[in-house]
Amino acid sequence: MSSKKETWKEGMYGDEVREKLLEFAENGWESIPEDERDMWFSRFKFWGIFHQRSGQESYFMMRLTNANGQLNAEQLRTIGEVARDYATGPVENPEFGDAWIDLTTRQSIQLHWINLEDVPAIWEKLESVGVTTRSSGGDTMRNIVGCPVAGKDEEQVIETQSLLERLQEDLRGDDDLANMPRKFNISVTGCREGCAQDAINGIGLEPAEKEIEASETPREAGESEVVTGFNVRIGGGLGGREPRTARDLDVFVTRENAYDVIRGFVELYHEHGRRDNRQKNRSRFFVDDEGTAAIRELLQEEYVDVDLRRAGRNVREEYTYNAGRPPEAGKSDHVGVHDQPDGRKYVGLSVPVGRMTARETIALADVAKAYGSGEIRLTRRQNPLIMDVEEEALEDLLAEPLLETHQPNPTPFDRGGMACTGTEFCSIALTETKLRLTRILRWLNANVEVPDDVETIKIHYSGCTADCGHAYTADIGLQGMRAQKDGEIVEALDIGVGGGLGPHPGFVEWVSQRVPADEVPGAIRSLIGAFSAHREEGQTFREWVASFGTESVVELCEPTETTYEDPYMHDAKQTWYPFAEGESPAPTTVEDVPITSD
Amino acid sequence: MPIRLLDVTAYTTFDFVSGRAVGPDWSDESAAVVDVDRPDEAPGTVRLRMEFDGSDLEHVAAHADHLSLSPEQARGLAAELERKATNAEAGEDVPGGRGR
Repeated sequence: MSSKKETWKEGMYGDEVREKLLEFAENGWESIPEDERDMWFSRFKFWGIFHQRSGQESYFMMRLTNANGQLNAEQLRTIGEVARDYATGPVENPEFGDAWIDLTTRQSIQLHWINLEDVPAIWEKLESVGVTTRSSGGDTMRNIVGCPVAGKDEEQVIETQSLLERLQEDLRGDDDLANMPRKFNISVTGCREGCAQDAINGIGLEPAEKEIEASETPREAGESEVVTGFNVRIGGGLGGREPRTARDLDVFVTRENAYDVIRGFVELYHEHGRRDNRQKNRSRFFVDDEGTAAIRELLQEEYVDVDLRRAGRNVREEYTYNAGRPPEAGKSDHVGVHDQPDGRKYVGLSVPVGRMTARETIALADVAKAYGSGEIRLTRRQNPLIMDVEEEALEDLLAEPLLETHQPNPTPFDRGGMACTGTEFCSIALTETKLRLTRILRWLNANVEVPDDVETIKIHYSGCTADCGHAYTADIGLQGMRAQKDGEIVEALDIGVGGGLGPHPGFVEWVSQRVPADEVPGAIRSLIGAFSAHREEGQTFREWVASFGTESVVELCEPTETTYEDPYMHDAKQTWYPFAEGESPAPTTVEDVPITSD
Repeated sequence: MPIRLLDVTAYTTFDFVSGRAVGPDWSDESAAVVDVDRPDEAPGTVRLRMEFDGSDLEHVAAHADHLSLSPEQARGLAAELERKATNAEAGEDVPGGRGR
């Protein structure tokens, strides 16, 4: 039996939704029949247009896609201008005001408070500079992630730019593959750092080497050569209380046939992935059910023409990105000033919960153009990088006011902070996230000491178990819950420790449940205190958890009230906007004036 | 501490309910999650699930309980809950039949 969403997709999906969306935009919010809204909102997601949550009717979130997080200054400036002119709501956020962008964990950008009527003008502006929202949501191939410094990285093992571009243009652009069984994530790592986080994607390529016989190369008979390519992993993903790290498919691909093998697996999942059960049809469950050996066999028999080689030698042991390894092992993120192979530098800024105002966004574009080539790249840790900075321009760049707010040399807590959207806009979140984590980081910076040799404490906050904020892969992972305190139901968090990616991807183990939000900073303080007291010199937080033991950490985690104040403790889902009082004005006109019905 | 087994999102029926697991000579008080859904893998049924917080359990291993109800049973349960809610608010039993 087809699910309701499958039926809707069969009726219309992919590129043809665009015309209908434009038609609704022209005729206004009220032109969408009330009994068809769920169907149209589901279809709009393919075009990156997401209706915000209950109480915010007529407002949409817009998600952009830009493969591997690459933007030029003109593109980022345009996005900033769109945020300034269109991402404005009927109320302000107490911390961020009005008009901002959110950097995402898939190297992209989200805008909020978008009116449907403004979408055509926004698309025209964005698309005129080569930015699109197509295929950024719904049951489709999401933004393709890669090493954000691909082509400009001293740690690059294999060039990936041409592959990423082909995947973006030819694979994601193929309307015949628009309707996947469920959302599908693709990642291509080309470096020794693992910054594309291949382990948590539907298909992930990791750099590898393999000795190949001469018959397959231009060399003389009897000779062989070591070729650099990729190993293939499949079936990784977070969320749903059932996270998985991607499994080894035991396949090595050269750069030349990497596209065909990725395409082959996408087509295989497109055809064989379950469409009858949305609770069990993510690619990670498909791999659970079928097994890698059977998938490999089917891939070879029906979906690729090249002979699949067995996996080669990977470089995973060198992975350092979000790996919980010490700084001397390599970069755990791209924050800071780093060398490019061409002698120039790139400068990674820290945006603790991934949110920048429109004014800052435009300033970033201008700064990138003034001091670098104008290129900006986005990382999987919700941070931007300014590329191609000449040595002599560095000092002036570092003195720019923007870099005082979003620093290349942040505190360990700011450096490690990530958060999902939360109840501010998300319909499935249980708690508010970005503002709360901003306040928690501020309190931690002022009140909790971290050992001098610790560069970062990665605190990732998801508003619910869907884990869009990647709590599972944090040093300290937070997931939204609810608890009772002083006789009232309050927002609370489950706390986990010791997750990370790198050579040995692993997820947090939970140490405390339903901690009232105002006691979370105290709990984190106790964890950092225990870490400082019991660690061996040089140990990172993740290494300490692994050696100390989670059960011991449970004993030392002490939620308690502190001087931290949480003004938004009460159930935000009961209000139309967590930081507003009174009735919702929604639905509204494009001028944010309530639409009154007769 | 065990991982939660049930998803807990804004769509979960109850993310916080006070509960107690009871054995012959023990009991564990715990917060619990309760959820009702229509499982894709068992068409035509309603699923009632309940999970106590693993951190509160001393005498029983962390687990989730699943009950599979026919639509008729689900309606019967809903009706019974409705009656008992009325009784609880009234502070007395209002006569009525049991769920089928």
